[in-house]
Amino acid sequence: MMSHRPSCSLPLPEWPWILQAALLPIFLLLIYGPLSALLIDTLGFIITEPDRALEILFLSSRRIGLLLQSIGLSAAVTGTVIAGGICAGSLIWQWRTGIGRYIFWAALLLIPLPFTVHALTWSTLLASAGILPGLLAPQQSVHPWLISWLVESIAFLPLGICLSTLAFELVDPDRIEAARVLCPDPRVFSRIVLPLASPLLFAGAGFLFVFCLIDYTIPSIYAANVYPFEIFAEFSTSYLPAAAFLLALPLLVVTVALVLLSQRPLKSVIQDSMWTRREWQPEFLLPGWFVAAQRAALGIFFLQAVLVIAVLVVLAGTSADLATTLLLAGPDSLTTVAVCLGATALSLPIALALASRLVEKKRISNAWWIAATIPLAIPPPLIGISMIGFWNTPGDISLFGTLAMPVFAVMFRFLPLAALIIAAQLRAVNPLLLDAASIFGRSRVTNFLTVYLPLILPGICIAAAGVFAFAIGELGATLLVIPPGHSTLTIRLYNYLHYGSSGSVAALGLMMTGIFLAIVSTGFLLVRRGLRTSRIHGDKPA
Amino acid sequence: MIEIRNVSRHYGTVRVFSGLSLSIPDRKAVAITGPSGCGKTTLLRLIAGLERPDSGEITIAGRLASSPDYLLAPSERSIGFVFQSPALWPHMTVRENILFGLWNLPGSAREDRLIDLLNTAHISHLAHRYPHEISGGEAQRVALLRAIAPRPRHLLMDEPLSNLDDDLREAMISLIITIMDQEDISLVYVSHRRDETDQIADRSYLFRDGALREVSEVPAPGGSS
Ligand SMILES: Nc1ncnc2c1ncn2[C@@H]1O[C@H](COP(=O)(O)OP(=O)(O)OP(=O)(O)O)[C@@H](O)[C@H]1O
Ligand SMILES: [Mg+2]
Repeated sequence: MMSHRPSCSLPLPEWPWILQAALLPIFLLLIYGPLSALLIDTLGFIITEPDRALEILFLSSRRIGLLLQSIGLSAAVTGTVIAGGICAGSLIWQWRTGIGRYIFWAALLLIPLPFTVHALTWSTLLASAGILPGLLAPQQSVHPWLISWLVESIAFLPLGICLSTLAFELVDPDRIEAARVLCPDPRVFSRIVLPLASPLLFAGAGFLFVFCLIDYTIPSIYAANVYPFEIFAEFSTSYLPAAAFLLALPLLVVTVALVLLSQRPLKSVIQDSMWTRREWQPEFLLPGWFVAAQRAALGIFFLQAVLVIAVLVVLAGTSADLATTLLLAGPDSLTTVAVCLGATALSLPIALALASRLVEKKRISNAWWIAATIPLAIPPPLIGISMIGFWNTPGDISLFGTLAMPVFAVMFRFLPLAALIIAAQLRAVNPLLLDAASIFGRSRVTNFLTVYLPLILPGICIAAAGVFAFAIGELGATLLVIPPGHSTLTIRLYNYLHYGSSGSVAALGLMMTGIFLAIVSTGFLLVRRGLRTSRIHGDKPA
Repeated sequence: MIEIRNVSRHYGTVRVFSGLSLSIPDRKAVAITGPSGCGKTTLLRLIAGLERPDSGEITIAGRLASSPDYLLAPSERSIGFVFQSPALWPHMTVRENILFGLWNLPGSAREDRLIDLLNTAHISHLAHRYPHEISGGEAQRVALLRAIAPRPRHLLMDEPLSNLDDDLREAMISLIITIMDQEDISLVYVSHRRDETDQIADRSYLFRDGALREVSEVPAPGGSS
């Protein structure tokens, strides 16, 4: 994939190396510790029981079917989300100097809304429309794949929208206008704008596909049996980590390959783009059918945002056992907040250290890119399984069985995401400001704390809010490592969606959405303040 | 003939210029110089239809092109535009960049035109390279060829030489003069350097404080040496 600009390596500030030396090993330990333990365990299994290993590796026809169906579902969801994202995102981009900015932020806020909340909303709607037998029996649904596709597509739509908007934003306006003078707008859009936006769109589609493929939350609620759930089920019956790993292998081949493929264009986007903010208005005259598609996609986005809130409020308002549920869920919400806060606080410094490696244009940073993106390819159940094997060691001071486990699980999944967000922010800082600071000859650490950190604060806030919000919804890995006697809101909601009463489900959903909104809007306010301060400091790339 | 009548443009509360008038005759080269931020780029963008005037109107060949509530699409105006940066498309070769504007010509005519253009600019050997494989001066030449490939009647150039060193600048100026002689085209050339505009232009205007003032009238058409 080509890079858009001749590569320009901007000088980054000298990092306090001690930070990297201390933090990067923690990253490697958290992620590659459990993974290598799992690998070693599997090798042992293959040597001692080669027959059983082979038996698992040669997938039964049922499992092959399952794998293909899972891939089909992910492909359908990715296609829908990217198409919808391109339509709505291009409209937001065309409105970039006006209302577009606010719609972008709204979509950004909705990205990490937990899957269980989406599922709750759509179960309610589909049940009241008579398509599902009832809110609490979604697993008896008649069209499990169709409904999973619908709900997952809608859950991922905000991500698709933000991704596409960013992709369009990164296209150099001069290049677009040079084309507009030469040929009609629809052709400019299809021949120039889309191809130039494609690296980020492809990278995003790749990661999205992987993210769909490894998550079972929504399909399992609607009884569409997907491959990652099979891994969980296999481990729950055999308790053999190696067996789960061997079973996951075909899935891993697909996801790791895709992640490795997608990280290259993402890398060039982050390392080479100039995140200039030029005031301009893309005033395109696009064909009628496309304008209609743009409006429809944006309409669906608004509709889903309104529906989530409306359904939750109505459900909770009509439920008698609201108070009891909230009381019962009290300890869970404490656990949830503790886990999310812990994971966020621990992730940020490590993600910052990792991001500083990702933006360097050195050969070694390729290795860091791979190390940072591989975790995104691991199915959550396998993350949980590998963590059990690694951390469950005999000894006096074992972290196993404590809340450190779900914290680590969340970090495993979302720390790389935080690092990517911060890396993008690092590139957006005007290097002249840093040069200006270093002239005063103060120490590196002082410069880092007083100049650099405030400049990258917006990115750090987004990363923090992102980790926290995604952590609220994490299910697949947490389910396996949560200490006995504890539960998180997501786990409880997931269970309620299978067995509970509708009132408690709604109350829980409302509560989760409340915590979620509180966190993301705090993050949002912090970012706005950060942006304002950085503007006062003149952070406008020349 | 491009007629600009009483055109005003402001961004928010910032007024760039108001009540500006200028006419650009066919087959003439008009140069505009002026201090940074006076609105030269804005004027060219208005002519190209990339922006809308807040009042006044622009006609091209007698046809209304821009007014506050009407905007003829940029691609319908028969103009070429060369920006300060070459703004080549990185996913296309030099050849494809130049051919892009010839999308509605038959294949053989496109090839003939391409070969002519590449020869004029002495860059035939670059045809199959990508923009990141050529130098800045070469890229600016490709940008010029791309702009004139569809034989526009008007060419707009916004400080096309400001990123080039002196030798490249001379070579590019003689290419522009050659092209002006060969093609049936009028030119609006924006620069802040008088030495460039004296070589290229038939007429020069100084743009200052929102008004255009004619500087000199060079008699010989088409430019020389
Ligand atoms: N999109 C925009 N939004 C707000 N102000 C703008 C915008 N574009 C231009 N301006 C302002 O309008 C004025 C004229 O800008 P313009 O780019 O036309 O100047 P110029 O004469 O081309 O300058 P230079 O020689 O530096 O290229 C400047 O003061 C500029 O800050
Ligand atoms: Mg200018």
